[in-house]
Amino acid sequence: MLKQEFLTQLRSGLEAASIEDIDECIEFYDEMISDRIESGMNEESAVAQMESIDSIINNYKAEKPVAKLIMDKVQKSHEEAKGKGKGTLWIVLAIIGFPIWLPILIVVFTLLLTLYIVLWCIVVAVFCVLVLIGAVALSGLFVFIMMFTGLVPWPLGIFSLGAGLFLGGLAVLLWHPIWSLCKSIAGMIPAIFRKIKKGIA
Amino acid sequence: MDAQLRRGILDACVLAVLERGESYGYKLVADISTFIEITESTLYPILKRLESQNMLTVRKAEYSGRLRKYYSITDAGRARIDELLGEWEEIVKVYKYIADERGEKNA
Repeated sequence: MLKQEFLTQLRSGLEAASIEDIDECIEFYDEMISDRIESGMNEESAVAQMESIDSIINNYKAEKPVAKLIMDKVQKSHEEAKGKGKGTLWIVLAIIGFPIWLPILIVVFTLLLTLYIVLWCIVVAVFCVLVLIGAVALSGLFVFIMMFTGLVPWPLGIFSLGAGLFLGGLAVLLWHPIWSLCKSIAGMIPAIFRKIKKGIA
Repeated sequence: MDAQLRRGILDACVLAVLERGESYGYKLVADISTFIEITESTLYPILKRLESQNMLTVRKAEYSGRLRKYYSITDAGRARIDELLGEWEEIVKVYKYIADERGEKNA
């Protein structure tokens, strides 16, 4: 076996045994083999003089207190679970906690859906007010035109013309601010939900 | 030999060799092997532990186009040798007492 192969196998063994400072350990054995080669041995003989990987790992473990080894192992498992995002513990907790988290999830989802609908209703309602003002203004003008057919008395026709012109002017005046308000509320809705999502995460 | 006792002795051996002067892994194994059996896998954890206990310092230096680690003893390391020698005297006394007791019983 050559040096690189030995060091690769050693690294795998150390990783499997959850040993920390793996790079430092590899450096040490790299140096040991290199020093042997420098003293006149060929690479294969130098590697052959090294102990077995199991023996290296066992000696390393023997030096450490049991508590520290357990802590290292737990920490590694935790990191792996965090990396994969699906640790066994979390799966077990998710199954056991099913009766609790499902109703909470449904309530939260319903509240968020309600909030979403309410916000859009505000947008639609504000826009409807503007449309209503415009419609009333148009109907005032219609009543004024009807005055010429004799179906509507002239004082009512004149009043309707005045009211229609007033409301039409109001609709024109309010068009821009209401349109901007609707657009800003509509734009705020995704932002609000992004913030809620961030808060939950 | 008891693992705990062997560990204490090996600690003292590593420190004693370093008291002569700075050294590196391969040389330490070669020097210590002349009076007690030691392998790389035994030496490495000892060096790590002694370093964490500030009994030795480590520096990396270039040698033949690669990096080699050199170990030096600290004052704490020297104090540890004194401590171990003191403990050894106690062990010898106890050993002598046990041997004498046994000798008297067998006599």
